[in-house]
Formats: sequence, C-alpha cells, structure tokens
Amino acid sequence: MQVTESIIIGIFLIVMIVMGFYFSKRALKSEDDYWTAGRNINSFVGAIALFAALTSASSLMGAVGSGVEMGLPFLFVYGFGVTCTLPFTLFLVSGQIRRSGVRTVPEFFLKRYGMSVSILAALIVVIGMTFYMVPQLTASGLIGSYVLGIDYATAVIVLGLGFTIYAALGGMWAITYTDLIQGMIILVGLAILAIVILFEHDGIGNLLSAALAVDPEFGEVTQPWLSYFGLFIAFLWFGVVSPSAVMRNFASKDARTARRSAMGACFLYASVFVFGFVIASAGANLDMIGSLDNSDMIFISVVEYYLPPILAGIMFAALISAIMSSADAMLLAISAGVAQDIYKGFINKEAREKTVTRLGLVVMFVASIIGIVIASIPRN
Amino acid sequence: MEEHGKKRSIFTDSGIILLIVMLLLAAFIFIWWPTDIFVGGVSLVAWLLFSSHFILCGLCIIYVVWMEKLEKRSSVHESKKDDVPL
Repeated sequence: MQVTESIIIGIFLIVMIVMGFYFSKRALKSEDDYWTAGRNINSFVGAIALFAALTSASSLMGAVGSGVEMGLPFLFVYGFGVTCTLPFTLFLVSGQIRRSGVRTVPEFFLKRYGMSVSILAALIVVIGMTFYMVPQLTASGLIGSYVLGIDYATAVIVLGLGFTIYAALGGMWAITYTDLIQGMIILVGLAILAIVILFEHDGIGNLLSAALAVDPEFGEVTQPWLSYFGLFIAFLWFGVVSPSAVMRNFASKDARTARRSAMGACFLYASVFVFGFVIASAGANLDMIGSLDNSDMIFISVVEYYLPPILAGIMFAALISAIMSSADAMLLAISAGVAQDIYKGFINKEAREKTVTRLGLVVMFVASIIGIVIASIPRN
Repeated sequence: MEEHGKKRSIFTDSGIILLIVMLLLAAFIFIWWPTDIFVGGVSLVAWLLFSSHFILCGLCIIYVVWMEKLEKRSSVHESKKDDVPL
C-alpha cells in the first residue's frame, strides 16, 4: 500500500461523496433538477464537466500506453479522433439539441420520431451504457488495487460505490460539480507531470531525442493505415451518439452556453494530448514497455518515476477522476433511460416527479451493482 | 430554415460548412499519409495530426463567434420588426 497516495485518494473520495449529499435535496425535488441540473449550468462549469465526462481512463492510460507501444502517430491519431468529437458535436447538435427543450436523448427521439423509436433508444441507452461502464470499473479496480494495496474486486466495489453514491443522491447537479473538480484535477495532474518531465529533460527537444535513441520506431507509423483510420472513424461519432456526453447539452442554460461549453471542452481535450505527447515520450525513454503485462501501465510507471509521493497521489486521483467522471455520466444516462423514458414515458405517464427521481436513484444503484458484478468476474 | 418563403440550402449552414472543412482536413491527412517523411525523427503524419488539434480549436472558435453574430443579427431584426407601429 502506498500510504501518501492512498490518503490523497481517500480524501478525494470523501469530498466527492459529501458533494453528493450536499446536492441531494436540490436534485431530488424535480425531474429537471435530477437529470439536467435545472438547465442552469454556465459555460465555464459546463466546459470542464463535458471535458471530464469525455476523458476516460482510456484517454489517459490507454492513449499514452498505445503511443509508447505503437509510436507517436498512433497517440496523435487517437487524440485527433477524440478531439474531433467535440467540433463534430458542436457543429451538428449542441445548440440544436439544447433548443429542443428535452431532458434525455430518447425524449428527443420521441418528439421527432414517435414512441417506438423512443423506447428502442431508451433500451439501447440502458443496455449500452451499463456495459460501457464495465471497462471504467475494471480500470478503477486496476488502479485502486495498485495504489491502495487491496485486492482487485474490493477496489472495484469501493470506487464503484463511491461514484454511485454521489451520482444517485445528487443527480446531474452532483455529477456536474464533481466533474468540475475532477476535470480540474485531471488538468492540474497532467500539467504537473508534463512540467516535471520537461524540467528533468531540459525541454521537449532533448526528451524526444532521448526517447528516439531508446526506441527508434517511436516516431514511426508502425501499423497498417486502416488501424489509424478505423480508430479515427470510431472516435468521431462518440460525442454525438453517447448519451453521457449529449446529456451535458440539456444541462446548459441555453443554446449559446451549450456551444461555448463544447468549445471550451475542445480546448481542454486537445491539451490532454499535448501533455500526452510529453508523457508518452517520457514513457518511451523509460524503456519499460517490454517488461509490463499491460502497456496501459506505462502511465503509472511514468508517474512513479518522475513524481514524489504527494504529486503522484494527485496524479492517481486524476486517473480515478477520469474514470469516475465518465462512469457517473453513464449511470445518469441509464437512470434517465429507465425512470424518465421507460417508466414515465411509457408505463406511468401520470407519475409524480418525486417518484420518478427516486426511481432514478434506485436504478443507479442497481445498474452500478450489475456493472460491479460483471467487472469483478475474474478473467484469464 | 426558411427565410422570406425560400428554403435555404443546407450548405449555407455554418455548422455544415465547418463540418466539411473539418472532414477535408481529415481527408487531406489520411489520403496523403506521408509516413516516410521525417521531421526531427518523427513521421510527418504525427506532426500533421498533432497540429490538427490546434486547427480543431480554431474551427470551434469560428463556429461559436459565427453563430453568436447570426443570433445577434436576428435579434436586432426581430426587435426592429416589433418596433413597427400598428
């Protein structure tokens, strides 16, 4: 167990859960508050929250790990693909979907195409988001067990229940404001790590030369063209099709705020890959990729090599932030899909607002437990 | 969107125009794909993709400013219409 890092992660978890309790009264009073934070989120908060929701463990550990393993072009095509999601969403849906005045993606389909498409959309959201949450829980188990020194399944349960408590209690209010803090931790953590690495190597030129001396293929295209193009195409659609991202638009004050939030999130997401360039170069320089079971763990190796325990603790909190901020948004989408779209939209149209928000709360716990059980199943 | 009874072409929409610019940028990189040209030991493909991040941010700024100008113009137009004496 790494004591300093564990204390920092423990404090971080407690703060997140306290925020859930703080926002619970406000969130549970109406459907608008629970699923769209009263449509009252400004551009600054919205931009960082959207950025945090899109930044998953994959964007940090996965991108850097694959960059070290398969070269800088792979890291940058990853960055280009995921950063493109924001202008893609901005140009096509951000303002338009906010003006529609709906609370969920299936509700948008209900207005446009009718009940059957809406129900189908809700089922796809619920099933898709439940399974999409599993990799986030798996990553939280890997990082949690590594840092906290507990076994993998316990780490999945502790961290999984951590984000479920604040998300279920505080709905979109808690999710947005915890994402604000989590997004800031991600940015500060990445910036600190990149700055320390650059100081250590006297600038990016020396760092890159050192990385290329260790691995001459680091700057090369190592995979077939289709691998890069396929990755770009797969990521491009994420912001438009993922309810966890689209729901952020519903929480914005107005269409103008939704557009500005997406623009701000684009700047922040692009910065992740500028920092990622530095971190991947440092990872290549360590020449450890062959000795690791999983290339994603190169990120952890870089953190431990370059940062003292206190700063490493902040960086690990940033990694957990990236996981939680994505998973909580997925939970909210599942909850809205069941309580708002299927229950109120189809089963009981006269349901009281409090009944619907409380059903949403229960659904979050149920979905989280299903995700935790699936993520905890040992794999070879 | 309808204006003076005429349906406007989708290609005059600011979002569609900038989407086309973004897709042209992606097409340029993926069609050219200069894997064998190296700058500072790194393939030009990587540098093109890296610099594209900044272009994407620029496109976002252009869209937001463009839309806000359009909205401002339409709100001025609306308020002028409201000022017409009955």
